[in-house]
Amino acid sequence: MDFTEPNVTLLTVEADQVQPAPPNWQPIHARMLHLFLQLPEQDQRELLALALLKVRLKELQSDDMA
Amino acid sequence: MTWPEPPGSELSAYLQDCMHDQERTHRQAWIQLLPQLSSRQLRQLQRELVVRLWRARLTNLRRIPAPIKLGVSYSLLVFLAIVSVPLPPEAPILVPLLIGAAGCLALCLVAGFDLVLALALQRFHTQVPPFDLGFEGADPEL
Repeated sequence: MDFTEPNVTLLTVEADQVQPAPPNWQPIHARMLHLFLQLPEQDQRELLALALLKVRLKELQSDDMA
Repeated sequence: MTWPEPPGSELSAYLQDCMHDQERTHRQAWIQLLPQLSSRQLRQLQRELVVRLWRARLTNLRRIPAPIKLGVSYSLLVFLAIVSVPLPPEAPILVPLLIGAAGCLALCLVAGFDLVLALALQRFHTQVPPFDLGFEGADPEL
């Protein structure tokens, strides 16, 4: 079973270990996870850093709004 | 300071475990980060992801050894030549000429293929900044 399919609400870390997806997990997240897992390790690291920076940026922007 | 030393015979398995752990950590971090992003940020990140994926695929194609690429294209061209060019039996000199021409064409094909790949990769490198933070109204020159 491919857990990166958009309509699947569970994620697997190991074949024998299943964990629930985050509550607001959406089809686009599943598609992006599917693509992410095909990337080389260096690209994965850089994209993680980029995603983390974007999250921080969003937090800062929401703080400014408040 | 002492480092934990894995048993020599199990070094390979130990390294594989480390790589597996790293891959799992990346996956977990990605799963945790994605739902925290806005839809606009997700679209930007998805674009970056797709470009990096294609860049990785092109890089893998470029890494195929040249003799293999040359051999494949040469065999293909010789096969096409034999199938498509009707050789008159009274002109056997045409056969080595045809095989030689196929060799030259194969060389040109492989060189052209590598050139196109290199240009495509260069385009990816210059068009996609490594970290597009998506600042609203930011100066694109910065």
